[in-house]
Amino acid sequence: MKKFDVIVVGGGHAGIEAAHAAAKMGKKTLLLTMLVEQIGAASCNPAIGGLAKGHLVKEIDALGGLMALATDNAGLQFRVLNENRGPAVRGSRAQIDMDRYRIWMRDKILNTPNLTVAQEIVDEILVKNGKITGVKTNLLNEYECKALILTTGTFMRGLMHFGPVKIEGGRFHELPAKKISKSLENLGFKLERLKTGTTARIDARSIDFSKMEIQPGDENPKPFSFRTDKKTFNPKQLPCYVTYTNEKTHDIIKGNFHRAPLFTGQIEGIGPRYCPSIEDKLNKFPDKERHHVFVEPQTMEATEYYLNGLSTSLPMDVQEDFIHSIPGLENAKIVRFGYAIEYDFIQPTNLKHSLETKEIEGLFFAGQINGTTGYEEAAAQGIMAGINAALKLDEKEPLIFRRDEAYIGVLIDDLVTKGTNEPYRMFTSRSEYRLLLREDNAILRLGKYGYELGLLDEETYKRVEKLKEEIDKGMKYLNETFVTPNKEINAILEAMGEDKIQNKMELRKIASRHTFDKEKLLKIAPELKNLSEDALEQVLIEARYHHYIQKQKSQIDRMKEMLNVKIPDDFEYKGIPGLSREVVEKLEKIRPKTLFQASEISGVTPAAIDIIHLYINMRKNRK
Amino acid sequence: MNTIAAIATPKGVGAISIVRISGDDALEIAKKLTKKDLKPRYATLSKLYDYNNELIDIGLVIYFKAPHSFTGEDVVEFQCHGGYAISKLILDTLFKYGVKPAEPGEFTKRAFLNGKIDASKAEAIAKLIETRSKEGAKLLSKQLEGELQKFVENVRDKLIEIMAYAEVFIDYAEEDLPETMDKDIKDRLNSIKELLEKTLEASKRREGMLSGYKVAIVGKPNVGKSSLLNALLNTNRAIVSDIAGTTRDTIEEDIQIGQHLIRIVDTAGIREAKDEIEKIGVKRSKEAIEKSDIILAVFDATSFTKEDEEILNLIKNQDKDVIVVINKIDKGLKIDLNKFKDFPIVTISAKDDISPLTRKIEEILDTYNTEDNYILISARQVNAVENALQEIKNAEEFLNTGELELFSYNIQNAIREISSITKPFEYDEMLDKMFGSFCVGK
Repeated sequence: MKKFDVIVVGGGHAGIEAAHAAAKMGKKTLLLTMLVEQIGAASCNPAIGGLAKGHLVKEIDALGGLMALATDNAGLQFRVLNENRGPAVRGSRAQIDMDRYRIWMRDKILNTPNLTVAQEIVDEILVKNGKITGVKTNLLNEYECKALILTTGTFMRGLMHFGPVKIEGGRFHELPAKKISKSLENLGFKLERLKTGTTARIDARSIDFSKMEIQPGDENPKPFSFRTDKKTFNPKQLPCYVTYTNEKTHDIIKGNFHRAPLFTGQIEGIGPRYCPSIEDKLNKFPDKERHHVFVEPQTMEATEYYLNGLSTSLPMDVQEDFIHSIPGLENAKIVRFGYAIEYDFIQPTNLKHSLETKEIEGLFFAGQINGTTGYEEAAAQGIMAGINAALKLDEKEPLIFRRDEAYIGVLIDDLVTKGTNEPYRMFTSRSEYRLLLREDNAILRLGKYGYELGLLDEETYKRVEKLKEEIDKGMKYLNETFVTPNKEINAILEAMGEDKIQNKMELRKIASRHTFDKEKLLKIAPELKNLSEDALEQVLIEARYHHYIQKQKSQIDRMKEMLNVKIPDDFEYKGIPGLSREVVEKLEKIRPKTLFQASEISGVTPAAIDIIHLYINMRKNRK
Repeated sequence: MNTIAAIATPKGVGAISIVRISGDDALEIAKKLTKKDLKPRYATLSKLYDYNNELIDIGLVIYFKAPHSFTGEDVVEFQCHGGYAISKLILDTLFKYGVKPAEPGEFTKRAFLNGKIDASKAEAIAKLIETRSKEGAKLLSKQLEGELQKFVENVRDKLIEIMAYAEVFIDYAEEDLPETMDKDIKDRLNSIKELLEKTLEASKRREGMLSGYKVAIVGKPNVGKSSLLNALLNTNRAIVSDIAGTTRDTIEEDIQIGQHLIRIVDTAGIREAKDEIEKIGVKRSKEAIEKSDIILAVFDATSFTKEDEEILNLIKNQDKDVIVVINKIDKGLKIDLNKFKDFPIVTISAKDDISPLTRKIEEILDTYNTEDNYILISARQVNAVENALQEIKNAEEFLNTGELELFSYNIQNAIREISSITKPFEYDEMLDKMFGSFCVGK
């Protein structure tokens, strides 16, 4: 029997990052996938990033993940969304060539040391004494492992709905994974159903682009990865197009509600409110006059276009009819019809913050199996599962990001503490510390972790360190340099069209004005002219948000404190009021080292944690 | 730990009141009130100043250095003159310096956390916490009743809606969203602001019900303020000389009109008026007006002078209730009443009969009470609403600069403040509003 340290099941966005991270951390890793061809496939829209999602991509990049690099290599249009709003809510997005993305990822995976790939379907999960021991595949191979990461995407009991036609499968005409669901159920997991959908793809030759609005990429495209050279980054960019549905479109769709699997009861799973199908939009907002449709190229060759905004599982004749009612698509030839897909997921409340299941040691879940939607959400969990599987085998503490450290921390904390009833998508507003967790400082926040784990190369990390030093220097200067409202400074301010100052203040306060840019900053603080462009930009942003971030500090400190409370080894749980016998038994068996670990045990409520906290303090004081 | 404050003595009992604060910043903040250093365990006689450095009271201040205090944290006690009014002023000042109102039982909880209370009491507290988490929302809402609860939940709901508006703009940057949204948000904000302001006002008036509505008598020298005061005191002197929770100020007098307790401010100023010089008179009037809820502006029926003009301007430029009192009507009306057309007017002779005036006062005060649909009862509630209002005002600035992330930051703080008197904010409530109001996503 072949032996591995870590086995990853699934070669999607989660599986790739998990396998790559584990292998790079020195673990002998096996990636099992149904179709090697489809490693890194984008099942839905041909784009990476966007609001909050771009944040995740950059955090993955800081940890040494692949998603940002692949995007920079396969991108065919780059944009920064919300460019005119504050830096905390800017989001990078790229349209990608789905083929190149996939091929780049496959090559990367097949060239990663310590990483083996095998094209097989996992049928059974092998567990002994509550610990993972390996898997059995459809080719009757058995593989041994110490940690198993499941990234099953939409494949577990995947069921596609093309109108009335139901096809079992995980994506277009790919096979479903059925036996693994049974195996998980046998292990005691409760499987639930979710639904998602995708849109029709159109033959480019049949589209009349002259009837659509053109949407080009940014003039100065910026790469996603800190490791991509900004100066030489100059990708060829293709435009997207925008068109709109109209009354006729809506009449056709509404007239066929009785044939929509979504409304007939054919589909049982719950879909995401964040990206509803067109029939769902018309049903919920019958009065909206039009909906926009983004027409996006799927590859650099632009032979097929993706109709973003028209996700649907209506019957084929209805899809054809309503698409033809849209300007520019009158003669559209559908290459692939849109469909909805239902699949199994498991409530993420079954997981610890490390993404390891609470019940079975060494078993990790990442991606859609945890109820999330989106490539970026999947990849973020993937890299964390890979890292934590490797750390576990090294008998080290898991890497867990607090909510004030990373969107990844927010994502996982939300999932494992609250669970989800619809596909979970990241939003910037999900983060209480949005002003702190920005795309632009992801590398500064997390680069250190990536480097220490051996995932981010030394050369890159040295650049991160240097940038940090520059920023610190700049901030120190702005914080410690006071100006009085003298003629000199006020003349400078006035010349720039800025309000004069009335009181003595730190330079930082002036720099925090929303009207300030790099040029103005250098005029009031010429001493900063030696800083790099990147450092100057960070200094400006930090000055801008300083006041608000400071205000949140005490909140963060309290959270940290809670996470650091140690539970003495001989701590006695028996006799503490408010703790059920069941909880006491579990706590005595597991013996958590910190309050945080205690909160990770199933059945231990926040109230119980409060009570334990009180008793820890009481005993400390008695001694 | 953050610093919390509460009045430690029962309302309105005894000659002194104690306000207690506990937490990391207790000493630092106490010094802002005393303007002098405090030695641990020493009782220091000190003046106490408010946020604007105005004198509140003179009292004993004691600093208990951690861990040698009731809670085990730094604690400062302010022993001030008895009654609710002064301790409330001290409390308000502390809140302005960032101190948080203590939750019920919070001092005890801290004491326990720091090992200052024994295990038998610990059990009770543990049970309390357990219940709290189970019935948290239920318990919280029980503190509120009827109209007030509806009001608070309504405001909270509207704020969440506004947040959803901002968030949909941020996270769905590309969608075609209604163009009128900017104005829509502004309108909504304004209506919430108005609601909150009205409630705060109503709540302050309720406080007035307890400690007396403040009435100022203003007017030029020799217009008859003093005789008016005497007439009011003679016929209406308050039956209850020491109302629970109030202090008696030597320069204030309590009277009762109808159901209402009234406190006339700056009676000393009125009595000394005989030899006051004109300038001081106007200045003093200004101060009295600031302190009061209702203003009685007294004019002479026989002549209207420059000084009267000044008084008239004074009362025109503020938004409190004013009654124009035309005195010495027994000598005949020789001035033009048109000047006072913005105000209710009563004509009296303070020496004979002031009942037209008392009827008018009663009439106005009656309207105060009917407005009290929702009033905030505890200092904590008032504090929460005041803070929420401030956050909303901060948020407004960022609407103009387009910095929605900062707008949202302040709105979220406002929601958190309001939620502290109802139920905790759940992120999903915002999502529900977002996807209930907008067709977004692709």
